[in-house]
Amino acid sequence: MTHEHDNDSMTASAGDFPDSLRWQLRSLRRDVAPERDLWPAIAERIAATPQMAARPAPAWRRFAPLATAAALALAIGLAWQLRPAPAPGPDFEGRLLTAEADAMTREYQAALFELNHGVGARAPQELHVLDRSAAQIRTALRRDPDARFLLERLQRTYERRLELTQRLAQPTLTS
Amino acid sequence: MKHSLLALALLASVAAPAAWAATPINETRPLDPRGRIEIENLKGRIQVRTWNKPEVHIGGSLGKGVEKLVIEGDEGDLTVRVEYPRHSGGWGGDNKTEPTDLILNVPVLADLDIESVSADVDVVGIAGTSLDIDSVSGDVTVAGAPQESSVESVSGDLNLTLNSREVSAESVSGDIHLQGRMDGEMHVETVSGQIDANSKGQRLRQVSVGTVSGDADVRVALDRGGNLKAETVSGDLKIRLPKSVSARATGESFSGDLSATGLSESEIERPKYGPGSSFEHRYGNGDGVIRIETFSGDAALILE
Repeated sequence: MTHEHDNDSMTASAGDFPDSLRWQLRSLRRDVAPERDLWPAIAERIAATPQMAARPAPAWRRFAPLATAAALALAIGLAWQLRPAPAPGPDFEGRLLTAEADAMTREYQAALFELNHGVGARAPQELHVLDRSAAQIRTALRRDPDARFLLERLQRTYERRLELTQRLAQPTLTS
Repeated sequence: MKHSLLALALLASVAAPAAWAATPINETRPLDPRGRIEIENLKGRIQVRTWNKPEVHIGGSLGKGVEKLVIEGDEGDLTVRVEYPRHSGGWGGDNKTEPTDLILNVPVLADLDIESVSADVDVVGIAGTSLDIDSVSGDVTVAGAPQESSVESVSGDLNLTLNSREVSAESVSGDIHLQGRMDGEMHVETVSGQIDANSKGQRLRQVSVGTVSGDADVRVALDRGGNLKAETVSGDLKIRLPKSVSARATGESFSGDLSATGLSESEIERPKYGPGSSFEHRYGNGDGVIRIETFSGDAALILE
């Protein structure tokens, strides 16, 4: 099952999955950075690729030095434009985590709304504990937006809240 | 006929609805020594003891107002379920039904799967491949040696004595007391409940401890190359390991106090501006990994 990383596409496919299922799918996704720098291996493979044999010198060869200089200038200009963005600092990652927390909360609320339809208004005491702790984690995230572990804790709290709501919404124990 | 008692009880309850009373249960079914049994009771009590016979005995009493006791399946896989009238509410918060006491004897090596909402759960002696208990507000007490255990509650307390290879114990506001010879993986998690865990000197490959506001006091040992992760938002963590531990330990906190045996105050790093503190310390050969993270809770890594 494909799972696009673009949040917009998630809302676009709202009609495809019930929110509770989308919530469960989301929880399966774990963004994991590669453990090591992949570039050296790639560079090696490029270097090992057989190069084309040099062709006989063409007629315009006497213009070569000029052409080379121009090409070089062009190449440097392009390289400057395409230089890699500065390594993401804490602000950048912090904003990412906050955005992820916001998206997670929206999805959770949608999933909860769907489940609550079956249950009715009264939410037992135990569920309030989970809701309060989710609020506590969100507050902590606002103050320490770089703490990825807080995001995981939030996800775990939402998951339990939904599991519990689902379990209680079932007409359990009657056939 | 297997369901003769059930049929009689049903007839009796249909014939004289005004005379419902707690109905005694006395049923027996065959179950393979390593068979699986699933037990569901919303309200009351579920007690499980074990024996060496390839059969299950169900005793106790059905509470007044209960729809029926369902027993279905075969000798490989049995289900014992207390059914409540429809529209009694998912909680059984409806006071018309009285609690049901289920008292079972099952083969000692059976796989056990128990679901309860407010029924207390009490299991002694089980030693099958897997034990799975799901409760909401019922307290859970277990003493046994299943290979893998998973116990979950919301507000019920968990009192677990488990000699298991893999243990997962989770609660929301209930407290978790976990002890036993655990030598594989241990996972304990609460939201606001307290955690008190002890692997009795056994070395674990993976340990994960997590709370939001609950405190945790965990005494374990780490296998060579083992991994321990402890996280809390605002609770206090005490992680106790033997002095001989070999691991690279890191700690991070936004505003809590961090401390670790062998670590001087100067080794705790604080950025020049802004909150936060962290440390990194190698114990022994640094074979394993210990990672502690808090937001505002304090954390202490104690080698003793």
